[in-house]
Amino acid sequence: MKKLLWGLADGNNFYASCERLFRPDLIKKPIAILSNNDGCIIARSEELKALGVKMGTPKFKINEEIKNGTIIPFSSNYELYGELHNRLMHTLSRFTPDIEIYSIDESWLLFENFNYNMTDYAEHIVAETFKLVGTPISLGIAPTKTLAKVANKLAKKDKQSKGAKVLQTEDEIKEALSVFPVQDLWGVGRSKFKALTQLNIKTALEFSQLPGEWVRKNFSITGFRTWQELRGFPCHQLLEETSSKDAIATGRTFGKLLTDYDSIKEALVNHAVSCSQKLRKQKSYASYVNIRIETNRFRDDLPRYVNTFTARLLQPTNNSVTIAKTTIEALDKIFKKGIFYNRCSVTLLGLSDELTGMQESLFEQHDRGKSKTLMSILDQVNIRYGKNTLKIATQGNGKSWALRNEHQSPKYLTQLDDFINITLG
Amino acid sequence: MKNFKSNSQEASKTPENGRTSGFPSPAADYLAVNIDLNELLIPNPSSHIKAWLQIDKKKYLVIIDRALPLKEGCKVIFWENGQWCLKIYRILSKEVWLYSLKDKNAPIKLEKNEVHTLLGRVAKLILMNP
Repeated sequence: MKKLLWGLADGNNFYASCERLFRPDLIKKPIAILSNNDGCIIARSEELKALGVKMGTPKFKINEEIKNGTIIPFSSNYELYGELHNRLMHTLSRFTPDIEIYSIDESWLLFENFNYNMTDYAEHIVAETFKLVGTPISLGIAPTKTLAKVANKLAKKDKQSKGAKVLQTEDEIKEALSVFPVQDLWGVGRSKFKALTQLNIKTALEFSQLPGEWVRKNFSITGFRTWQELRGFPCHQLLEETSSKDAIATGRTFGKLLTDYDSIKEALVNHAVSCSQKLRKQKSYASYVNIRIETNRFRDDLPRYVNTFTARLLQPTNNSVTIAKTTIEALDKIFKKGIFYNRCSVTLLGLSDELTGMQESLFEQHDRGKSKTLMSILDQVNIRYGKNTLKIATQGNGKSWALRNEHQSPKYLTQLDDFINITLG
Repeated sequence: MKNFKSNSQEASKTPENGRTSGFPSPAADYLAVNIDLNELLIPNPSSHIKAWLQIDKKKYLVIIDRALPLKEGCKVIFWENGQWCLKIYRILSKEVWLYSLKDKNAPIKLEKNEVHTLLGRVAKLILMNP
């Protein structure tokens, strides 16, 4: 019989750990990672959580602590986090061939017929991954995904666990579930939690012992699956490949309010180019370009203006130049003078695959071969020599609309000038 | 139009404007293997870190590889006084000591729990401006 075990590996305070890899002086210090444009907190170190600072707290509320050095802020550095994420996934795939990337810092591992002592193996995975990549992870292993998630949480909580926890035997599972709060379970929402409280069901174990008929009647299919998974019947499978997105969007809030046409055009074209790149990466074509420009909704003293425009492309394309041109045409339709804009975005819609749904336009003779070559050169140069080495003239130099990211750390792993400097100590 | 792609495979071919008198190059059969500097210098891409080291006028590219085992006498990168420093890793009666390449600086004892201050072992030191 096949013996299946699921593992959930995730980075411990992943973004903060990425920053600490190159700044070990920040170990044990409260770190706040800020959203694009330094708006609010999107990730926290354990020490920051202990200070009671919540997720989503606007930056200005911790300005005082930043000034006096109690909280260390970082603008999000996705070049760094993305590279370390790739390294984590690559390293984890050495330990099992079946792996599913779940988010930037979480992945599912499937262990099929592994005849190891799984606790030893899990501890080995955790230790090796830290040794190789430099950011710590936790790993929970169990017969189903839901139980693996429980095991992962226990591995994090228990400081003696070496970052790994395996729930394999019936006794181990029962013991773990008997102290696991039911509201922390995957798939138990707030409303269901209320219903369970009324029945005096507090732990995951009590939930798993409810009669199946009752759970099926009173819960959604997700809740029922959770119940089944707690009892050791796997319902969630490994997703081999995530399906392509059905829309691609890029948008930013400007560093300051903008009123001139050229700066907004430049920002939009940059978003259009970055969307087109994503499009080519997933080998699709877009049929529509949607743009949106808007003023700051918190500024009551200024006139409010929000407008969007969706332009149809003459034929599905992933050519940056065509998409940028259409973006400008769309802007011309809705741009109003004398307005203070603070945000714009581009969304590509109506995506189709390379092979399906490609209808040639009657009016525009397009040399698709030529366009493909041009775009592939654009992408190759930019991959080799860095983002935006080669760009369309309307992309400009991004001075006026650039992001506010005054606390950004160097791109240690991806930029020549940002590599660490070593001295003879 | 031809795709712009420069690699060692292109470079190892007989140049088109070179000596071609109808005879195939006798070396042609031996040019199958291409040298990829990435592969040579960075055998473990997922565990390497690149860094710069400036000694007087000389500038080195340092390839650090966290996968390499720490051994007596190897060079390591260690965090000291707010910066990354090059040190010599020494094992003396079961204790680890980090020696400076400068004689005047005293060695430091490395404690077992200092996992974050040791970035990794130096795998390659490449002089960029010989």
